[in-house]
Amino acid sequence: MSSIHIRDLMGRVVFPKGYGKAMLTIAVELITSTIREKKFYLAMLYFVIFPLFIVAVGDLGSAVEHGPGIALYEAHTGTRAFIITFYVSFFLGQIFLVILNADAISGEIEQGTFALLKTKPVHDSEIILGKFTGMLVIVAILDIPTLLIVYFTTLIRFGAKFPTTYIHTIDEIVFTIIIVILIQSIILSMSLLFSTIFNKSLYSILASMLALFLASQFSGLLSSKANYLSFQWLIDAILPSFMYDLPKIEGIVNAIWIILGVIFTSLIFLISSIIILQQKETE
Amino acid sequence: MSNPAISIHQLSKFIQAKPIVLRMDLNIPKGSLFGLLGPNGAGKSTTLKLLTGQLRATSGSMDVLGYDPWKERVPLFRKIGYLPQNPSLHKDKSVLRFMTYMSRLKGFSGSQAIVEARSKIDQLGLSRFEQNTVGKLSGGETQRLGFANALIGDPELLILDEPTASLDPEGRIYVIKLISDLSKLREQTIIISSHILPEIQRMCKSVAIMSEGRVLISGNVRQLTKSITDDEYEIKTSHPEDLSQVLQNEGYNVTLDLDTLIVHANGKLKELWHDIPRISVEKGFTIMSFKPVRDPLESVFIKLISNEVVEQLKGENENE
Repeated sequence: MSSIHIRDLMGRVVFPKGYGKAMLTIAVELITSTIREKKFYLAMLYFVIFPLFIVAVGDLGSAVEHGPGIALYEAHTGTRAFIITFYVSFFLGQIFLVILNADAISGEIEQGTFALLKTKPVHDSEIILGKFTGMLVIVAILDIPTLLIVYFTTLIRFGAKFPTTYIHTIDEIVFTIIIVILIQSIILSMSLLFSTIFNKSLYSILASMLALFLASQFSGLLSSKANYLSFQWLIDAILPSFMYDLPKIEGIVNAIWIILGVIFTSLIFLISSIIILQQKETE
Repeated sequence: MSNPAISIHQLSKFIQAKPIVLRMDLNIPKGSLFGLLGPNGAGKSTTLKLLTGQLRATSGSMDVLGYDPWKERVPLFRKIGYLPQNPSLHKDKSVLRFMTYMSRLKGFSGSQAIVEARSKIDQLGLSRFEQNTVGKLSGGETQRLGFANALIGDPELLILDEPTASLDPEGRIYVIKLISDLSKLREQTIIISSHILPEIQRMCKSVAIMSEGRVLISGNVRQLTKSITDDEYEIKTSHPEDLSQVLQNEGYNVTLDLDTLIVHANGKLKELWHDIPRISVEKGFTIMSFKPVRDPLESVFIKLISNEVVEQLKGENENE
């Protein structure tokens, strides 16, 4: 039986037999080599210690005093607001993601090791998707423990009842993790695109930072609060409407559209990276 | 000629409007050990990068083992191995980890990748460095590791860009022997670029000589060198000073370097070939060696670069 192949613009088969094996190899290699690097542990320290510090010194109690008085609701709202500020803000969490990821391709080109990938039977799409998948796992390694710590620390501070409140918080935690990683996947795919465009790490990092800053301004404009904290409106829009019957925030869009939008944006960045890499010559 | 391993037709590559490779035509037979010669900047490395799909040709076409290198890089690299000039390897990995990663990228899975990695490390004599960090290897050891990487999967075609350039004498001998063995025993097609002519002459049966992006001449080494003679000869004899005196009296330019005479034939080469045995018999001198100062290929190369014999050789090749 003849098999049907999808071909790209140059007539190359996109998903031939054995496709994806090299992608996994590249992803695993990226993960194992990144977790040996100092900058990963710096990022981990920052991701764990800084939020805990903010939670410890922050005035979260006022939310309970002035809110509707439901501990679970207050705990979730307070935690969510903190996560928005920390994880998806331009000035805090995103910078580490850019530093970790923006040299994924350009760094290899700069060091001359990119030719090792280009002179092996590896598709350009496997290189991009391998790097992306690897970084997504690294981001998850950084995010998940920290999110758990932040949630439970906050619940303790709010004096939430054990175990009822904690159990009721699991769905909120899972959803928050998914949303945070999804939004960070935009940042990862965008910095990967710049890493593919530029041949020098410094340029790709600076370009990614600039793009993030501009995106944060743009997203700020979309919400009623013109803020510098990037995707706040996204999170504000998604979580309350999806999980709880809470008042909606201005600029709100249906959660499913937000999720699809995030995935679509990441895909556009990834496909652009693959096309650029296919056209790129190895010096 | 049977199906060539590589067929290049009117290939050109311009970088920033400068021609690096210009209207190149070349056929490399399967199973041959082929030398690509030329001075620095001749376009050898660019040609090899074009053949391995790392650069896109400005015009012309290439067929490497039936594939277009730019469009079909992935299936092509299942069959070829490539050693770049001064390979950049992952400096922070151990030798074994680097080779295992490369084997996995080549398509080996699980424990097979480790077996293949160890086999190539051993083949290149690097077993004792298996756990060493790549960044701590010497230049020669790094070059050998790059070679081991190119050999993963025993490729049908090996493309080696200056494989001995940064090797010490021991490493050079080892690698030359390895290349010769691969060519003879496994009948692999091997292309070597180099500017070290004696090495190429020792290893390769066929060569192409490049200069300023063009192939000046290509063909069998013996064919190319058969009509090329050097005007300078080196003689080792039992009586260097006496022989020097006699040759000067016969009208040759002679310089004496310890016990070795360098004789310039001054256009009387055939007379020199006749005079040396005659004088040594008459005077009772022992001739220990009598050979051209330059290797024949070196003479061809120098003359080609200075554009003296291109037309002559082309004419001879066409007649045959």
